[in-house]
Amino acid sequence: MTRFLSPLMCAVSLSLLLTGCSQDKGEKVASKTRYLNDVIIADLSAMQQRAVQLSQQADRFCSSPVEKNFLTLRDSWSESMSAWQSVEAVSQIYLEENMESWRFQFWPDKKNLIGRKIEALLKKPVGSDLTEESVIVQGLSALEYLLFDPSSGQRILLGEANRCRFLKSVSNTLVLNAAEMVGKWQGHGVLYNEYTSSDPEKQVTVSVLVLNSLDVLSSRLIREIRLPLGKKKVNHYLAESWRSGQSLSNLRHSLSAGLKMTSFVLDGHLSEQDRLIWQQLSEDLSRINREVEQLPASINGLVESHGRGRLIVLNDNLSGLRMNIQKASSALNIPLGFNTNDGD
Amino acid sequence: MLNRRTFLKTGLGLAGLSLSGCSISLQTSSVLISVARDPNDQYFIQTFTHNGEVTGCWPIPARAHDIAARPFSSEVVVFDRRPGKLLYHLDWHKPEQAIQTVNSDSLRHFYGHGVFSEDGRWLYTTENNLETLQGVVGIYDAGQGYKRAGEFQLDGSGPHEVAMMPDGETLVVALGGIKTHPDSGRTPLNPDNMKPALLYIDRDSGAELERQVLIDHALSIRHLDVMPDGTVAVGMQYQGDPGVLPLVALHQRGEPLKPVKATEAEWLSFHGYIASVCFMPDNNTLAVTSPRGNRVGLIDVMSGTLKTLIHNRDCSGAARTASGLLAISNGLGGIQLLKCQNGQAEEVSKAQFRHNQWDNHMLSLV
Repeated sequence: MTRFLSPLMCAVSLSLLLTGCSQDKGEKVASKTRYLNDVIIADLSAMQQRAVQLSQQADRFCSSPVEKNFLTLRDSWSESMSAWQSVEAVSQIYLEENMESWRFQFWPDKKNLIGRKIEALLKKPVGSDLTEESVIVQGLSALEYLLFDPSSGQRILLGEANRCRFLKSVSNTLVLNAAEMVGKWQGHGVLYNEYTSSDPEKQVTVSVLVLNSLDVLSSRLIREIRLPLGKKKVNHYLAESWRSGQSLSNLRHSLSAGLKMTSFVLDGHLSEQDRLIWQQLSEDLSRINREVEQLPASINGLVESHGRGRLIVLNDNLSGLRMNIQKASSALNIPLGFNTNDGD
Repeated sequence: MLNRRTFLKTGLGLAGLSLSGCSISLQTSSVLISVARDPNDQYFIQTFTHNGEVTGCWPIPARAHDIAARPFSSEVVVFDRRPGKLLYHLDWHKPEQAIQTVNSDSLRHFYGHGVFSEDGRWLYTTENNLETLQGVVGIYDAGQGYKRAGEFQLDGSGPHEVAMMPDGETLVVALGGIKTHPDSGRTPLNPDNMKPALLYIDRDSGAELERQVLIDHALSIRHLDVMPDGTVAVGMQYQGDPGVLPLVALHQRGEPLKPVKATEAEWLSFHGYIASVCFMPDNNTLAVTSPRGNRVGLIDVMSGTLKTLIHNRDCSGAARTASGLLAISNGLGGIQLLKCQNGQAEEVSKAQFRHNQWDNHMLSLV
């Protein structure tokens, strides 16, 4: 068993904590508490609620496998996936240590691990709790395969009992994982303790947390566009949520989460100079969000047709956002990854 | 596949230090050296202790890469990263002395790495021939102020890290396989036609003694380290979207490369990128860093199995200290010290350099 050593927020270290901020300690703590409750836990609770509804809908469909229930179940999955985009955007910095995100969404899936693992597990008896199975089969990506993959979705709709049982197991596991994640952020959960620790190394201001989160987010969104576009060859299968055709819808929800994070910072105490920097980032996010709103939810039809040019523009604008985040890093004296962004 | 993880919690010896740029303290034991950047985008070479004391600081004009210590001397050489054309040499015992620079040949640039002969006389560096884009091992005479003494042409492009085998006569070269030219910055010019390899070169004749290749041409072999018994470890970087591919392999002369054993999820968690590779010969451990994966991997060398992953954001430099500990640096100013055994670790201490972003590599001097 591979072991992780010490779940520390090495990223957001002492150097970051003490950087240019005029807030006093009490204000910083209050701001962080508000951010935890109003952003992280609020988004996580919303996602948990969606997961419960999705699981209930899966039970309903499997009891009565008719098309109407199937379509409602698919809608429920879409809402859960949208909610997850926000959770991932606001808390990824804390989730990356143990790749917690993979329990909810596994992407990119270059080798179709999701399909391979699910089909292998369908040949074995499994219980309703898959938390001891591969993380790949535990979350929304697995459910997307079951519900939207042309072959699997059809077989579920036809009422294939084994597949429906597995669908219920995965959706139940999603609920278990969401509840566990909520637990980690509440009371004396591991992520709550890390977030609120008085250990100087673990303390970060909301600005530091948000700028690092935006850096990770923008990097991911660029990949979400570039991978299906390909350098020489289009590859639909590398698009996020390609089976459900929800790639750009996911991207919109991620951008909205980015906007929510920057708005939170802008609502706090900032110097005039810092405010201008954050406003610039907020305007970038808003502009790109408006641009994505003009595009369909699915990226599949765009990558090969005349829409490809629009995706290239979107990619350029996301790259511009990333550059502005890195400029903000210098101006705000908030270090981002040095070797991550430009290694050798 | 990755399932629930077991977390190993350790006590932390946090040294909450707030050191900046070039202020120097008294020297203590276990001195490390690395290139760093400060918040004003100024670059410098710094010697420091794992518990946070700065013992020497030399500003340099641009980002550099790896460091080589000259045997039987307190001289170190720091290499420009590609496509830089300078190498710096300094006496780390004399921080008051100015740094010296040496230019590459006008039709060559450095790739950021080099190694000394065992007697400290010759320095071998990896370089790019700007006319052919073929790799070159440059030879410099340290006894004559690093005067360029010649070169070996390599059969391939993009040599990166070079090390000396225990026989003192054979160079082992990580041939990345990537063609670049300064006119197009750092952009790979042959992404579909890369030919990475692990090369063994006779240091006197330049003859290629052995070549090992991997199946996937996009796995660029970039960094390596050598055990006293001749075992070589290589760390790779995937050009393109990383798939489920081993990024670390072990090698013994005359045998094929053996990928380290790890799960699909563990390889994926490195995000296709290994930076530094560092053996802990007395502890049956190989350490690798992945700044993109934000984790250090610790491998049990005997079994060739990845045993431990340590979360450390933007980690990159790895060095074994004289006291047998593993030091890890990161781009956020952190220096983590680990006690390793059989691919597992306990954290010994952690220090923070407020104004430093540590660059890719680090070396222990004592």
